[in-house]
Amino acid sequence: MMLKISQILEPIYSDPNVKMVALYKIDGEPVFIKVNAPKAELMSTLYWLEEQIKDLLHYIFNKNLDEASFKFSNIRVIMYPVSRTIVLSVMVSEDASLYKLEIDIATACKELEEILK
Amino acid sequence: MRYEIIATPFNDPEKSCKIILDKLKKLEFIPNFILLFLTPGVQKRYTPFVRILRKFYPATPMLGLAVEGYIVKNEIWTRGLAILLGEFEGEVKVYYEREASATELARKIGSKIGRGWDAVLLVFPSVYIPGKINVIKNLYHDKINYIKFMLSKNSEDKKKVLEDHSKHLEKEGVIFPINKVLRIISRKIKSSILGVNLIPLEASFNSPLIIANYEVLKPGIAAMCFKGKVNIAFHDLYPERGKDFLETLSVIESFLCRCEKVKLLKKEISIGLIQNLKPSDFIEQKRKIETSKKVELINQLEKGKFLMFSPYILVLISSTTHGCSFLGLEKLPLNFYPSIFDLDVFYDEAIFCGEVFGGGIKEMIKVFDYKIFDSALDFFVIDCNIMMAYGGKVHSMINLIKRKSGNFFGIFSACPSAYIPEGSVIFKKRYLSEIEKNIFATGSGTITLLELKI
Repeated sequence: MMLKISQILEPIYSDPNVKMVALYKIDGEPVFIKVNAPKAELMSTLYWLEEQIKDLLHYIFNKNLDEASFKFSNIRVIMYPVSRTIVLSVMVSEDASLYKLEIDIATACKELEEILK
Repeated sequence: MRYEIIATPFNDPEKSCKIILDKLKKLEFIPNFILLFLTPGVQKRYTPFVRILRKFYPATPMLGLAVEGYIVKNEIWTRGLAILLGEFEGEVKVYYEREASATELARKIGSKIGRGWDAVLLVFPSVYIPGKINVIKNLYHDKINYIKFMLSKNSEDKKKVLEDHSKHLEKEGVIFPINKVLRIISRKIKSSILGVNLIPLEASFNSPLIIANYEVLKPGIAAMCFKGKVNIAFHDLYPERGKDFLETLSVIESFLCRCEKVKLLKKEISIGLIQNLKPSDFIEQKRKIETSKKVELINQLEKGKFLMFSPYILVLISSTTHGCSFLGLEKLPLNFYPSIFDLDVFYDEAIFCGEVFGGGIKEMIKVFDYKIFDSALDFFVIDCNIMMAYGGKVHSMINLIKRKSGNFFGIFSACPSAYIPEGSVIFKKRYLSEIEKNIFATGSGTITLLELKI
């Protein structure tokens, strides 16, 4: 399963503008993480994400929030629900073409949805 | 017809090459045409893909081009590449011309193609960004001509300067005016044309890329010609055009917001004045956007990050059909605004407004209503601006297409154009984008379909 998830997300995390790709369970526990940048660079954002993740997931799953996006100084965090229990979180640098990334993430989410059913 | 689509969403050439090689080895037929679509992530590293295809099928007619993304089965990707290999039951040939002015290239390729084909997939850059030195040369040329323009006493003399400037842009192969290219070629070949007039969304030097029969054109025009059971259709998002200038004007005002009538001083493919202001000054004044500086332009082109998209448009009304073309107004550091259309077919009065995608994705896929074969491969080209307008929501298109087509493959490219001869079912609608008789071209919201019978 992890191998399949990794293969599906590979086109996303192999993008040099993508700093991190993670799949979180509804309780906030990560089930898959791929980090493309030095951890120190992302540490503060990761701590913030950990603190917020449960609340965000609550809004995504219970209040039908389609997606959530947060912009820090030069990093953007985007979160998309994949299934009723899993959310995909992608951390990108400001150089990324967001509209294109959104399209690719949507394709990956569809494929993940299939295997996580 | 048998066909195979090889798609790999990886920008890493090594990984993609492995996937391509595996699939090619298993291919059960010998294709008689190959279409290679390269997204921005692989456009600078196209050589290994071309080498592999050439090794397997050295004599097969082949066309390669830059795209913004592609749609295959349930997936939409804006990275990696896709290859369509087909064994069409009929004749397929690729022609190409390069190293001459846009007009000359159109004439030459039109003569080469000749008559007797049923459909032509025509690929050319409506805007070609040359190398750094040529970009700088063109910036100086623009400056020198602008001094001549300012010194000209009357509008006739000013138009003469604009004409000279236009000729220079065409000669340098920077602009290929879409309607002019289609006009010249269609007069010679008389068959349906699906125009893929490339404009990179994020431009870099020496872009966009076109490859014909494994040769890179810098720049040039290439055509893949089909003789057999094929069909070309065109569709746009807009309401029908009016019967005269005023009627079309009211049509435009009904679906575009904040319309403002403006007067242009234009000739061929150059706009000298908009409301008596230099185009860049007009854009700055109206929308408070600062025009980018020349140095910024060079830097962004070097990084491949110069955005060739603008939410502001000039609506140009055709004096022959009363159709319209939308010309995006970008913040270019130029004194004359270059047009991707031959402006001589439009009135001097135009409309300045913001761009809309009325009807959205549902409206776009109505092109499939023009299908004439029950079983066919439906290859379509859709305006890539839709990616910017809808982002991840473009995925909703897949289910809508599936209701109308069993075998489809699409690419996102700059607003596609078409030449459709009389008798086609599409003429039941008076398309707003028909700016010359049978020629359909505008700057946003179009989709074209090439049906290849299976």
